[in-house]
Amino acid sequence: MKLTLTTLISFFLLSLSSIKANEDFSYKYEKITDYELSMNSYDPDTTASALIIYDKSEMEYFFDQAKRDLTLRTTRTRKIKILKKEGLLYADNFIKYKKRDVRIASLNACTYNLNNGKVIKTKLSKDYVFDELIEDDLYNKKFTLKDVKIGSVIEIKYITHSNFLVPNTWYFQCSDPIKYSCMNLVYPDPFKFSFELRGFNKIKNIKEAGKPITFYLDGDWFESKTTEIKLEANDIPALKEDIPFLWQSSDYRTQVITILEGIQHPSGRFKAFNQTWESVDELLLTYSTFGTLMKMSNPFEKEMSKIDYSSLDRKKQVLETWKLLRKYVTWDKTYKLYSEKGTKKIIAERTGSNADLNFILMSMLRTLDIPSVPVLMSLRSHGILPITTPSIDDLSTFVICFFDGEKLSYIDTSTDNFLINTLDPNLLSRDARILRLGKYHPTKPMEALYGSEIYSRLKSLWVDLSTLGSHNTQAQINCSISNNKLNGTCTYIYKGIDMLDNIVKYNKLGENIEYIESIEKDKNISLNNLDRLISSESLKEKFDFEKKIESSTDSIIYINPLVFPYLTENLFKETERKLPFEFNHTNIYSITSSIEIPYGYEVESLPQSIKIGVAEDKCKCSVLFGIKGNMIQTNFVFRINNIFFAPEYYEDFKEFFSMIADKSNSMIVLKKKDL
Amino acid sequence: MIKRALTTLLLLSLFIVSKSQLPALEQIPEEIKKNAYSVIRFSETNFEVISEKEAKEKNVLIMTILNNKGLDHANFIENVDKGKELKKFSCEIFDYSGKSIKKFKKSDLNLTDYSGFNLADDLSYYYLDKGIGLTYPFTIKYEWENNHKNSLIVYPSMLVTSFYNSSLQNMNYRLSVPSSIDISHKSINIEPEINIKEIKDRRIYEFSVSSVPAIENERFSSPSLEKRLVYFRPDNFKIDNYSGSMKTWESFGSWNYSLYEGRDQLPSELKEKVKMLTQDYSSDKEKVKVLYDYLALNTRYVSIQLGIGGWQPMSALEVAKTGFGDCKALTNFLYSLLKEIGIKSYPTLIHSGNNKRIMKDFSNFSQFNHVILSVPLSGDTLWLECTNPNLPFGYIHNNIVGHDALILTPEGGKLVTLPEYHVSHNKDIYNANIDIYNDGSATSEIKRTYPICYFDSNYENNHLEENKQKEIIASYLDINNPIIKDIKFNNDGNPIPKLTFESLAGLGKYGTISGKRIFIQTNIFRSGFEKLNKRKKRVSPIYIKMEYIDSDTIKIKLHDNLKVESMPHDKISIDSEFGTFKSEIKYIEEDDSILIVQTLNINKGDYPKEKYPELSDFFEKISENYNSKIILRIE
Repeated sequence: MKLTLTTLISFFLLSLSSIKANEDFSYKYEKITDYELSMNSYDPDTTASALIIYDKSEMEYFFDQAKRDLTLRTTRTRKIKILKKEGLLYADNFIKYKKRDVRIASLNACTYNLNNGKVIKTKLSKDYVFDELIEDDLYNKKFTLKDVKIGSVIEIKYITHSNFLVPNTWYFQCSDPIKYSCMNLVYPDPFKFSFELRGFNKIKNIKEAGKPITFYLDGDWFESKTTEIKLEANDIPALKEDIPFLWQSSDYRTQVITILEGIQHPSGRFKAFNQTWESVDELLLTYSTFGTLMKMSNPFEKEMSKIDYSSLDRKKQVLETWKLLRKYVTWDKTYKLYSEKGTKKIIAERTGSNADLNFILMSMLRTLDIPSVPVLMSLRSHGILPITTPSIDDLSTFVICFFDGEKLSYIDTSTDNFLINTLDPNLLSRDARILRLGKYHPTKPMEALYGSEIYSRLKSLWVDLSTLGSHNTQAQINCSISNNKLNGTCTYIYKGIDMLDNIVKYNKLGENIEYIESIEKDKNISLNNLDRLISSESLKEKFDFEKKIESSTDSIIYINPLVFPYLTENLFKETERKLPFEFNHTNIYSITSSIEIPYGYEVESLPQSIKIGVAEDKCKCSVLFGIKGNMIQTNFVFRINNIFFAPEYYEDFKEFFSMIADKSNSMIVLKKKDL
Repeated sequence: MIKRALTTLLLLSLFIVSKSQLPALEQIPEEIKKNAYSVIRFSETNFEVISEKEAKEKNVLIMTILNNKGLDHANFIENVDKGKELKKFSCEIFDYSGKSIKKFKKSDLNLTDYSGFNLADDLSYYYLDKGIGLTYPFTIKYEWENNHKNSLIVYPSMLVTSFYNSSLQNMNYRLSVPSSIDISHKSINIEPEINIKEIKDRRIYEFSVSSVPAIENERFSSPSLEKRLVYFRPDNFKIDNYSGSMKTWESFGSWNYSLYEGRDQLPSELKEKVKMLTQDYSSDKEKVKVLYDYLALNTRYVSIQLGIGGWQPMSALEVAKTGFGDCKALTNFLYSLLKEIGIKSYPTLIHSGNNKRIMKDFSNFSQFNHVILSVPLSGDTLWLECTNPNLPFGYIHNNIVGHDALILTPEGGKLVTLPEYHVSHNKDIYNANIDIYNDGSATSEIKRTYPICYFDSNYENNHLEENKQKEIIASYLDINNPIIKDIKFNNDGNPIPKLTFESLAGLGKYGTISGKRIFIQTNIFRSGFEKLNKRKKRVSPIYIKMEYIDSDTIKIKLHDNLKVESMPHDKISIDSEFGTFKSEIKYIEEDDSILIVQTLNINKGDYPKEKYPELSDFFEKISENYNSKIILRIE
């Protein structure tokens, strides 16, 4: 939901009096109620270790005469009731800040306890306030409050003066319940803000006129009115962190993101900041750590000239280019948006971020006349990109888009094995943006810059990469039964991310013997003759195996016909789910097994075949059991073609996977014939 | 075990390292590469002690990283404080051919005060945070110098290996001290070549080690094997105004005790409160319990490691005022409360974690990391953990049980070993009554008595939200999506606490139906029993740290005319020197049920590496039995 200043006026215009605190609680600094001190649990959430009685951020701008600079003053106050032992952690606090840009102007904190009906107030001692250097200019102001025990109420207030003029995202929600949360911003009217609200809790807002302000900024003196906007929420439930099947749970916390769209100067000039994604594009293109690198010369021109690319199709040309690059530079396991080191240093150090390597790869592709463009995104681990409130700060990296001769394809250098349209799951963003180059090169038509092939296929600048690529595992198992054991051969073919995952696992274990042991343990087998063959598109793994059968008597053999099931345990375990859930990537997993019926035996019973689906068949599975001649044949196919699902589907998925797990444990009964 | 070095002279002649000349990769013998992710090619430390409080330290380290798993071994991290300064640093990286490809200098290092778990401490860290990202193998060379001033309670150790899978070719350590300073050393898991000489008014100690193979981090191996090093220490030391002797644990304890002296004053109102709280109790034990409870209600753990190397506690007055302290401070606080009512107690140093034993013949600062309070009572001594007084009174938690400790007394330090729980308390007991029906579903009543070794991680389960409790119990069962209800966790709070849970569970997917049959797992509580790796040749001896018993009694009542078609062997007994496993599975006609009784006893101890295949077989057989199938017929 996007909330602009104009819409704010018409939305929920409430008077301050309607936000009065519940009588049991006070939301005023240094005012503690009897109830706050005497309460020992919080009925709406009896599991809470603490109750945040209020959490407020009050912000206003002032002109710092000494620095002759506009400064954002933030007064942060919180009051917390400690309900359980785990809540004692609220007594230990830290404020992370960059010393060059932020000053902590004051810090006060108090503990309140009830002692024989008397309120005892204990102030924060300077002896227990520490300033800790984290790195570069980043510091941690650490402090701990005195006399904090279960039942205490603590109150913290600090004021910061910041050169950053845009308020940070305000979270109305945290891992403990909050009675009242408020963000209050008084800003000069020439500042044009927009506010994006996220989450599931109701936010009230109030807008009023503030006091006038005079300040100097960016070459102009401003004498302006101000506006005060107050966004507040009551009774916000706890939202825990580390939620399974979610890349970034903070996306779902109730929050407001503040965006400075621009400043209206008294001269009439409007200075815009990232108003649109187009302006974000353009801003990026002016950066020497980004836009300039789009035109960088190819540092491996000489090396490339020794390779004959003419006989290769475009995909193979890209693959060979990547191979050449990786001969000289490896990925340093970091994702970046900008390339700050400089090409010479990257090559000298032989390592770089994906951005460093991507820019070099793009320059190499230009040498081959393969046009390519960056595709901007927020990593899944960083959260969802706020599409409606464009900001360069929310971008965290980019991948490369190129035309492969048939369609647009995507690549990234953050991989040890290069596959086209196979990105790390962290890069499978739903909202990725193909960078618009046009205005940056006004003399060249956009088409020429993208390459006519890419341009003609660009329906939209936004692309959904969440379902990109084809990620498969196919298992083919052939075996027979003798001496209460299954003996046979298994062949796996991995493609896409499944292939990369397998390679990473193999490399991590480092040695063949450890990898073999991991398969043996996982599948409960003895393994022989492991053979791995890696091609440009797939990994084929073949091995012979021996596996004890599940059970037998003198006349009956019981075996699991899938031999190596897809899963035997349901990973969906939560008793209730309130948030959406996501998978790492789309996938097709198939198992085809053929088991020879031993001489003198016949199949007495086969498990029932099933075909099941969930979420309008976005995820489905079939397990078919049959007999052909003297072979038991089983075919298992699991397919998921979407990775994001609403919480309403959780129970269905839980049941769906439970059925798959159940079917994966199915048994076939072979009985000795009466000969 | 470890080959002795050649003479120091020979070593030096082999490894005179210049910028352009590195020991070639081919010089790494095969036995040194075996199981190694990295090889220390050459290391040299020169530690020159100038006075009781000052020293200069020079280091050279050349290490070859053989594969990606050894990359972490190449990290450079150096801690500094107000008494230690990093003066010089350089780093150079060479590719597989020996060609220099990267250089870093001191200004490339990052500096952080990050104290993590501590609220504050005196330490800062220099670290190199530059991508190394190369093709393997590559070689990294570090050279750095430190100046030490103010205090010298710890001399740098000769750290031969501090990682598993790291081997060494050659290492020299030279310690030069004024003849007036006595030093001692202690070798752990290595036998270095030692040469001691007197030059003018200085004594020179030269230690060298060569050809040290890598050790694998193997299952059931002693954690003490990972580090191979030589400790050095000055026999006498001085920190700020506190002088001490480290010659014996007794003298070390005496010095440490002196740091507590005069820090036991209490505010007068607290003195009154202590008397009031304890006046109605006659026995010392009851009084101690009352004050331990007071500690739980009125203090919390905050780690502040400042001054005197982090060895002096905050005063009891300060703890009374702030309501917090670290292990020393809280221990000293309880000590002071007890002293107020005339009960003797003693701060006691201990290692909390894996290291149970200390070197009884070599005292130094490196072996303890925690303080508890020992309270000798008639016929019994209490070992009280003051950082978590929510633990049952008198309970000795897992991180310290059976550990060596040093009691600090006015007469000096006294080495003791804390008691260990009898194996009968380390018994994990499941009792389950399961009712199974012809659709494969089941209902069950499950009771578990936790072994004491699981107490620390489970004793607060009853405070968790209900869904979390359900998830915990569900995780114990090898059943998909059981429906857990009526959960009752119980902690009896005794000094040897008994922790249990009882619950009802709907086991919708207990049996897998196939045609006219239902397949059920014999023991749904132990299906994940560990199987050991077999393929790699065992390198280190077997070390089983703990003795324990798993005891399960499962009764499966058959409903809907279900009949037993097949069951695992009715009686199995497997004996080995590592323990015993017994399984009895029988059909009881009277109430149409199957009774499964399985008991596993594991013995603690040290065993030769040659016994590993037997251990592996023993575990495999147990796993097979737990995972065997019972097959029922639907009539």
